[in-house]
Amino acid sequence: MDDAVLQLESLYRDLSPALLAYFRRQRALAGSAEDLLQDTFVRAIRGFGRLHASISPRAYLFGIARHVGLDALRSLPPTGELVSEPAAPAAAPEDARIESMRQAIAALPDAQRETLHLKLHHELSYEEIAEVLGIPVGTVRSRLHHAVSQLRAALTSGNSTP
Amino acid sequence: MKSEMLETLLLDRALGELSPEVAALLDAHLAQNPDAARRAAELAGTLQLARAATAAPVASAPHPLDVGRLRRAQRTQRSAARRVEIFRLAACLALGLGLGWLAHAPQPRLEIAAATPHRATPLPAVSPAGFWSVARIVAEEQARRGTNDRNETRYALRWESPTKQPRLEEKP
Repeated sequence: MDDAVLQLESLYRDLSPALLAYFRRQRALAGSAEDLLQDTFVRAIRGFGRLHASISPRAYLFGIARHVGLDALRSLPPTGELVSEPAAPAAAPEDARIESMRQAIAALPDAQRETLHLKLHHELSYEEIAEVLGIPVGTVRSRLHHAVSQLRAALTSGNSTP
Repeated sequence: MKSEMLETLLLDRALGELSPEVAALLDAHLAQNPDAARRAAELAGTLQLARAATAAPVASAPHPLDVGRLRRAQRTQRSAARRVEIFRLAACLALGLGLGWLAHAPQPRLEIAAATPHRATPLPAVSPAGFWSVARIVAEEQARRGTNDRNETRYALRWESPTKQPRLEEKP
């Protein structure tokens, strides 16, 4: 069997849950997450030579997944919110602090929110995030710092409000 | 330690981006600075809350990878790459042939002049006395009038302008 297909099969076993979660996290793409996951690996094999130049296979595949997701979002009719937070599990008891945090995250600029998600939920390193987003590592760091500062400020003001 | 640097280090620590050596040094600093330790705890709490607030819905296991589609895409990619390679080789070959033809093509010879010899327009005969001599102008005037009176002593040149040919006048 072909070496590239074998390697991608192995990567699929390791990374497909994370990539699927990445697509499902975007509400507009949640319904087609499985198809987008397959598209990601089809694109990955087309540019397989770049895999070895990448920081890590994870960064390579997340970078492709991001472009696949953006293309899918562009093809959607422009109605409603394209990217939004997933709904909280219905069984989970709602905490006021969690709700205010959710609002604070939703209020973040898109670039900061995307960077924060890649870090918090997919555990990508600064270098990997930089490759996925095509930005310098320093920008990743500053986006995260600004995002966390804003979240802290939002929480503090929420707590001080009677 | 400066406040900004401490904030940066605390966030890097909370996000797991510090090397073990730096993390150990920072932990030692936090053990001696309760304020910094409190800020570190706040930061960790904020990040934990952020994780909880954006927790993804429970995902089902992904479908198996469509290996057949992957292989088809790979074949298409390879044939496209082969076509591009062939096109490049063909372009190089055409360029080489073109340059070779240009380098060895017979050069056009300048034989036209030899085939049709140029006949130079004969210049008017100039009198040995000089271009502005009275004898030459008298001869030219007589030739124009159709007479043959070459007695140049009867004539004189009259210059009306330095840019015009002098007029021939009969002496009184």
